[in-house]
Amino acid sequence: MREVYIAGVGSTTFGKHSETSIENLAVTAVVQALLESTVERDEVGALYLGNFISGPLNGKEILAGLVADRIGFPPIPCTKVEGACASGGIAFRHAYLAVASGQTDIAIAVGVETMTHASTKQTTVALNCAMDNENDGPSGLTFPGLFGLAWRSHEARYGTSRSHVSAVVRKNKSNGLKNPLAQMGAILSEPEIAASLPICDPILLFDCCPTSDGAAAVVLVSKEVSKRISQHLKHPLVEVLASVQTRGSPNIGGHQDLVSFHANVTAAAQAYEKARVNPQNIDLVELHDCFSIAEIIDSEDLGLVPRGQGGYWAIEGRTALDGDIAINPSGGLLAKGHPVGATGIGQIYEVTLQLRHQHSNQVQQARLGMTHNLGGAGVACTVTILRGNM
Amino acid sequence: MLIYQCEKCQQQYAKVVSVCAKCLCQKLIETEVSDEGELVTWTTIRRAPAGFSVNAPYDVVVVDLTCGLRVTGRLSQDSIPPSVYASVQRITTEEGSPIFSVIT
Repeated sequence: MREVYIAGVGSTTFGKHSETSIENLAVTAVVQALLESTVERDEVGALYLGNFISGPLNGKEILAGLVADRIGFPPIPCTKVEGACASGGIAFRHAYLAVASGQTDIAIAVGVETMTHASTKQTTVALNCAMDNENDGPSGLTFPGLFGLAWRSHEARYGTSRSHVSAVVRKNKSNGLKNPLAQMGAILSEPEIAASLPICDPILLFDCCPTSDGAAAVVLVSKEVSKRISQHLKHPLVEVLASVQTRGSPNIGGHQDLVSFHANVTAAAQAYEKARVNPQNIDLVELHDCFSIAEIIDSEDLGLVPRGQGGYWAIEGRTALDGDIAINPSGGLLAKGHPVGATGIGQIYEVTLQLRHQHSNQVQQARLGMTHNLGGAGVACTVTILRGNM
Repeated sequence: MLIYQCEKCQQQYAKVVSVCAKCLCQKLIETEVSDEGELVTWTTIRRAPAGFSVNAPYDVVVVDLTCGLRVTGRLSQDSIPPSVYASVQRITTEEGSPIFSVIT
């Protein structure tokens, strides 16, 4: 496989974009990334678009071709991929593979979702399509409920309490305040979090990421192209050391352990091996905190925090910007927002800025960054390891 | 409780499947197993999914049946409060979901 570099990134803000069509939101992000990369439209060999629910919420499919048409790309293969909340991460991996395998020298990955125009009922029905509706759906389970189940298991085994989980919420909401793309940054007190609306015990409203509109894009290039364009770029290239995708169980019955997602563990192990680094080398991670307890579980599954210690590290500030491992300096899904199909590429955008030392909430001397994107009840996971050149 | 068991390797499934994912055998046999099990974890859903026929709040439970199969179900509204590791028993099935009650 060939070396692959990130030459350009682009992103809209995450939040409400009710005046903009879903395809135009994606177009904005792609054009930003293209201009930053300095490559021409005609040089791009493939486009992969991550999206989950444009059909039910927008009445639109064929999004990849639609976006490419709006930008005037040549007749290249344009492919929409879907893996629930991991759709963006999967699109990135496909674009990475297209370049790494030599299929093309330049590929684009874009993720997009618009959700805020829809009613809560419409959104809930659409999101629940990511559940195994044979096995788990009949019980009346929801996705917040899934993480309520996981929290109770984590609490029973490791003593993870409301205070531990609230520490994650406070950190990410505070980080989000420093991110101009974030939807819901805030300074929150522990009593304010504890007093928020109960959703599914022990999950409260502030434990949940918001629904969002947004798009993010990335231009990936081969080493050959990177050498040609590097003199024109206003920023350093970021190298993709590993881009991994794994499958886990689509239902709860298939998870042997409810305090861990097997797809997380296997993806992280493969990524570390491919990148030839270990968890201690990672300076920052943007991981899938769709619910606050998810950050604790994910950080342990990725080997960044010892098993069972996720809540304790959060409360001790060891996952803060200046901690042992900076987790979600962007604000994560909790504060930045979660336009489902865009999230995985949004994470790549954030880590790329960190590794260029251009982020508004910069992790000092960041050199190695990771992204983690999880879909469904743990059925799909992507992990990416990126290296900066600063 | 009715489950489905692979004729060849005895792998168990909560819902009907066309092939055993463990050995690819296509003969799955309906099998009656004990209704009893251990509660693994639970959550109280306070906002039901759109179109769901049961009014919130209700408890969704994960149960390890005595036969070894892990299933998702709901706790009966009449049950005593749940706790992790509590013994439970399926008392009925409603619209595809087993309904459990904590055994006193």
